[in-house]
Amino acid sequence: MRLITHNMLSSNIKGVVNGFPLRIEAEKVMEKTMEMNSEFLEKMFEKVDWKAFVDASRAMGYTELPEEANSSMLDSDEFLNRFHHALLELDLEEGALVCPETGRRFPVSKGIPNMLLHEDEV
Amino acid sequence: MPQNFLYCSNSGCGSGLSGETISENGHHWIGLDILASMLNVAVEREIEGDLLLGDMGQGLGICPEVMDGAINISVVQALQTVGNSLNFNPSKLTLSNRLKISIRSP
Repeated sequence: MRLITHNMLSSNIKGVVNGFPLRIEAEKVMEKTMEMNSEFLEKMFEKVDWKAFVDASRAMGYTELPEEANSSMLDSDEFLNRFHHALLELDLEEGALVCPETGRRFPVSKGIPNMLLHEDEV
Repeated sequence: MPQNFLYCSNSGCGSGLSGETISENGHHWIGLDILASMLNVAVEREIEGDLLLGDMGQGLGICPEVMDGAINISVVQALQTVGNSLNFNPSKLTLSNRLKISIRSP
């Protein structure tokens, strides 16, 4: 699971009011190379919850993102490279996603989060 | 698919066949399926999208207005035959509404 997905994912448990962002418990993180697409990054920049993104990057062991960001930074190749790397090239292979309200853990195995809910959570 | 669609949800993505088409056209996608066996095939095939093990009947868990498009192949049939959703009731199915919530308005 990459951070582009994590930034769009929330806890779906019945009764949870604010299930975003899920906290990341990283046991194994992989890095994969992907071709950069500046147009896509500019588009995603408008959608990304930046604080959730920075916190998630740190949980994945990547600390090169600025605390705050604005669209003028997209003119910087250095910033684009870091944004691209954190968003699309870090992959959570093993670990868990934790609901911020209930503490419920959604296990991540082989890069696949298991978001299946129990009967009493639907 | 219009060229400006860049980020899609792919419900019932299975082994990633339809997702591969999305990737080949330069787009990104999140795939969701309830069958771990199919998702494992997708992992082995090293597809480019991100995968989630989840039950469509339980909702997507994707934040509103972030997806540019949605592809759902054989999803409703699968809900009726494979889904773990208990007491499945078509009149309560809000899949299309959930997808609408996830998709950004043009």
